[in-house]
Amino acid sequence: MNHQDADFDPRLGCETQVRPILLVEDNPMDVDLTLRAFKRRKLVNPVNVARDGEEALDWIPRWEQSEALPVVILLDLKLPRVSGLEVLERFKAHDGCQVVPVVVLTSSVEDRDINTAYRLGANSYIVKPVDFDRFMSVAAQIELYWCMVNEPPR
Amino acid sequence: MDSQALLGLFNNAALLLALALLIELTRAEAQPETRLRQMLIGVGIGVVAIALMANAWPLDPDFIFDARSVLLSVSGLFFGMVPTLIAVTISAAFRIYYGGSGMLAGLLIISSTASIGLLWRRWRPPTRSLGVLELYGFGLVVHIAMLLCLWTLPSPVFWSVLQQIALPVLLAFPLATVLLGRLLSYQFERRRAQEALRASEEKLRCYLDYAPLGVFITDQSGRYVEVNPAAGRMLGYSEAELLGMTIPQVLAPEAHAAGMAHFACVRASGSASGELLHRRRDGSPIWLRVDAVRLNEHRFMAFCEDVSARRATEAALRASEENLRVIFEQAAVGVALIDSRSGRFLRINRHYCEMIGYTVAEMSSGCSFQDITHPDDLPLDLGNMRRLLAGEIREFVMEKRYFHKDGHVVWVTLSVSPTWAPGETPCTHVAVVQDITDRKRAEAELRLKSAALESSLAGFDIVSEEGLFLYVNAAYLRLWGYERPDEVLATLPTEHCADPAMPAHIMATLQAQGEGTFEFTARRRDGSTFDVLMACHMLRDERNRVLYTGSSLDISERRRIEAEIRNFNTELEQRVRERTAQLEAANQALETFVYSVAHDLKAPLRGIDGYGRLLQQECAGGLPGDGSLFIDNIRRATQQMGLLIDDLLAYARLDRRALRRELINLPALVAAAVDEHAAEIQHLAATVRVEVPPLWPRADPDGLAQVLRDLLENALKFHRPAVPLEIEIGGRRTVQGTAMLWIRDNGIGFELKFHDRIFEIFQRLQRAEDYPGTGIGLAIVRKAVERMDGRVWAESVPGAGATFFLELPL
Repeated sequence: MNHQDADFDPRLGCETQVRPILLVEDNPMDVDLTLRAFKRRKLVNPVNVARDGEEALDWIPRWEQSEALPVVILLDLKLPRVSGLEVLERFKAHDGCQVVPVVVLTSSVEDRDINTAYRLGANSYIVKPVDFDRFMSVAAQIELYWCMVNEPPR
Repeated sequence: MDSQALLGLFNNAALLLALALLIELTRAEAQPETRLRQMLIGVGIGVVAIALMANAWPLDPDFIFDARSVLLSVSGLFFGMVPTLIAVTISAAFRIYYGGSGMLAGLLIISSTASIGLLWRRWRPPTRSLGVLELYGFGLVVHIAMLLCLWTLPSPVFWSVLQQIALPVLLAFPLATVLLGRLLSYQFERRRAQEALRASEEKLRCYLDYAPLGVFITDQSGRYVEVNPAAGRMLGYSEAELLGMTIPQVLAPEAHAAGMAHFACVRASGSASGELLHRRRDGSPIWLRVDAVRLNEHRFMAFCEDVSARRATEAALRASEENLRVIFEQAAVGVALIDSRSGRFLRINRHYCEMIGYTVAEMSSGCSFQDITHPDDLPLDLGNMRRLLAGEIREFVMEKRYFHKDGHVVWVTLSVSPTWAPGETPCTHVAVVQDITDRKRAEAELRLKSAALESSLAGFDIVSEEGLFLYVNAAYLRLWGYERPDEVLATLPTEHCADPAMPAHIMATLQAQGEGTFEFTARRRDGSTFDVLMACHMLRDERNRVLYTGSSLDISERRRIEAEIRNFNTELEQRVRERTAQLEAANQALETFVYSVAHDLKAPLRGIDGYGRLLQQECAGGLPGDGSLFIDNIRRATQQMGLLIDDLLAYARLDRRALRRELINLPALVAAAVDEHAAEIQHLAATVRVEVPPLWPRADPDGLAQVLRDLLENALKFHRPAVPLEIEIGGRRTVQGTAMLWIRDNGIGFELKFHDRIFEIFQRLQRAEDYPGTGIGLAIVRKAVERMDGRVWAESVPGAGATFFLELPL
């Protein structure tokens, strides 16, 4: 399911090298709050949302057909159908998309989750705070770092 | 008396003297006094008697008067029966031939005078020499008898004859008898003296020839002039060779001076004695005892005795005595000579003294064996001595104890032998003692070990090389169901095993390896079996014979228990597996639960908070009344819920995390924890004083960091309003060897009754609006510390501060 925000213009993204962010998140409120947070930051990158693991994996063939790779993938771990860690594993095992940075964005601070994620190639692990203000600041930092500071693979 | 008569008398006297000469001649050469010779003498006397009668002067035609009475009486007196009877017979025959009226008187005279001679010879003491007076008396008696014989003459003739001859007969004939008797007596005595002298000389020669002593006679220059055979034998020379030799020639060279001094002494003082070493002809030495005397100025006689053997014996005796002395002194046993009556030591050797710690002088100055003998052994010893003195026993041996000078007991074997022979008066005895303390100790130890072996719970047996039982202890009897050892000794080891080949297998193994442990099934006497564990050894006895020893335990019960344990273990393992599976399932469920909590529980909260915030921000103006306050409360509750979830997860995580054990630099970790909270410290204007000595407890680094963090946060949180917060962090090493850390604050503290409750989960002492919190922090601290084998406790004065103590192993 390809959810596109009103502000999002894929062509612009492709052509102007503003590549999308892929947000893999099943909780609609979290999706909403995340998008709102990005919106407040005046994020230029379009945000593609996958609502479960399977949907996230469906992106792989699209990327293979020369659709623009995302600048970063924000990945929740607790997902229906295919778990986030499996998705991560599949992405990192795929020739084309393994270069895309994956930031795990989840509620869990379990050691097991953190260590497994890094082992499978996660580039960052960020805990979603309950406090919306802090959540906003986290979103801002992600945007600032991964979309502005960080130089994504070409 | 006419001239013819006188002539007759002279003829008679001459014939008698001729007889004396004849006898002297016939006796000149020593001849045995044979019967023939006596007969010849008798015939001779008879002839002389005939001659006497033929030369008589006739007083009457029928009567002849002669000296036949003298002849025949002297013959009877000197020559005895045989010659006299022959002479009488011849005389009588002649007188009968002569005939006449005086024949009867003549025959009577012949027989009576001869008889008187024989009787006189018989009745007189034979040893006394015939003196003149006796001979005269004899002559008177004979001739009175002769005159009485004339009585047979016819009376006229008798008186005329008596008248004519009485006077000459009584005067002259006794004198003639004396003369003839003395002549013969003198001859007899001289002959006896000659024979005595000859016998004496023979005896002396015999002495010299057969004497064991060597006899040497020298002249004044020391030259031998006479030696006896013994002397020659002693020196190895013949008697002839010795004659002409001198004293120095037979002396050993080294004895020259002594020998010549000896000779000089004899010459000067008349005698000398001494022992001188001589040299025999063959050069061998011989010791002679020389007793010499001076015979006269020119002759010296020496009696020599070979004393070589005696001297050798004496030397041997001296050597023997020296040997005995050395043996006595150097003997490796104690030897003493003891007065048997008093028990006092007369002589004692060094070893004896050393054994009991005294000096020889101490022991020899009146000490008796009773003084040093153990009182328990004294009665037996004295009893033995009494029997020895009474002659009931000839010697005895006993083991007894002495007291060493320093007080300890010395065990000895004592052998006592008397020095007196049976029947002699008891005097002294010899005691030989040998120190057997070591043996006694060994014996005692052996007895102890034997007793221990006998009382051992393990069965013990000894089997000979041939496979026969030699010994079994009581426990062996119990195990194998026997009552007495001899019952076992009559059996073979093969009967004691369920498998008869087992003993051979054990022996073969022992021969190869020397020892071994075997488990097998044993067979009791009644045929029942049991499992036995036997530790076996191959040993050798004092005669180097092989012995097999076995120490056995009944392991039937152990086997049974082992089997039970095996079953139990199997069962237990099964149960553990089941329980583990259950636990794993439960754990899995918990994991899933925790996982869900971690992931899902906070998402709604985030939604509530997020949209609450959005509501505040974007619709603030549109909220009626206390709407904004409500939203604040909703958000606060939401955030509190989020904290609770976080702490609960942290608390749960402690259980599931694998803890590490590392040496931790405590001061550094404390400093890091303080640094972490620098902002808050600064915000509160708190003073934090850290004085932690270098301590390296063993703990989980993350866990300990969490604990420090929580305690520091606790101190920062519960400060008193309007009182500047002071936190003091200190540490020390305890006497128990642990590390102690304390964090002291001057905050609100807590009442003593709560000192334990504060570590329990969800226990809060303060209102949440005053001191927000989840009530989980200190529970996490306690759980973490306890999992690190540490201890945490708190002390407090309410309103004045609290101190949290942390103790960790080093």
